[in-house]
Amino acid sequence: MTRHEDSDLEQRLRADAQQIVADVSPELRARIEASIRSVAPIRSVPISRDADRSGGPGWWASGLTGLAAALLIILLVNTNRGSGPTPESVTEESVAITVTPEVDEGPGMLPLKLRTADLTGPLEEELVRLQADIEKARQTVERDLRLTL
Amino acid sequence: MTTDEQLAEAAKCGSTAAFDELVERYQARLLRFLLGRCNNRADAEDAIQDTFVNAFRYLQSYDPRWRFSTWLYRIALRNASRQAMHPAAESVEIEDNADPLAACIAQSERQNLWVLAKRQLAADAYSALWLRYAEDLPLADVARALDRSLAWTKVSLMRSRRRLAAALRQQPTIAERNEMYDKA
Repeated sequence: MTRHEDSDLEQRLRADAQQIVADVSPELRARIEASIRSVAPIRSVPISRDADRSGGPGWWASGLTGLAAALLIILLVNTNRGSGPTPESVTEESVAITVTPEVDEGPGMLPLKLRTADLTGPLEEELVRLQADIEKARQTVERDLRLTL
Repeated sequence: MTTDEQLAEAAKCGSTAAFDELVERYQARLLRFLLGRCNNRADAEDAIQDTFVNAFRYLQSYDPRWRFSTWLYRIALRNASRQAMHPAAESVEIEDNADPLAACIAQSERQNLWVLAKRQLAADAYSALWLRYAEDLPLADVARALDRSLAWTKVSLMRSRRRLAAALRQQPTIAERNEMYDKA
């Protein structure tokens, strides 16, 4: 296929696209307008993952909270060691309990939030599709009823 | 003149007049595209209605860094794909005999390349071709609307053009077709 043929084909595609008759009937326009008026825009939009990863104020707040919690725990453990009865009284279990919140409240919370969004996102999309299907079915029934009556 | 993106921003802030203007600008263009993608006019009309409704509902998710048309066509493509799940009418294979119906279809394909494109190309390839040449979208926007890579889009366009050119070469001219009729 030569460059000339290619160019001719592109021009023909552009011209032929304009030849397709696509008149929007007043009925269709009215249908579109009515269906737009019947729905409300969704105001709350889920935060994109990119924004989360890029590090907004939420990320910093979460990081600082985690850091403060970690420092507090280190301080408490050291204080207990200094004033407590004996070092032997701190068992492995109590260390595990003390350390766990440090992991949970730190920056590790972010992936957990993302995972929740991953799980609920498809369900929300499916809900919207189902609502659209119901709306379409309702309109079909209405149209059929009008035709019958 | 107000751009589509400015109108979309105004619509985001609650201006229904701005969204109405967007509908006015895109209704014929979208319908023209959807007529090629859907099985029949009724499906195309359902798809265009769903497209505008979804665009209105999710207007807040529109990112003004991208063209409004790219975003709108992406929604339209999803709706067209859903409509395509409905059973289609049986396609007519054009044999090389002088069947009047086949001749009529071949005639319409000669008259409009998009009729031939619809028969020859897969749905995504047809959409890529339409967005590139009928809508004049840049390659990056075509890829984004189709949710495909830039490489796929380029290769798809090249293959589609070759396929259409080959199909056009195979079609007999009107004079040849008339001659076939006379012989038959």
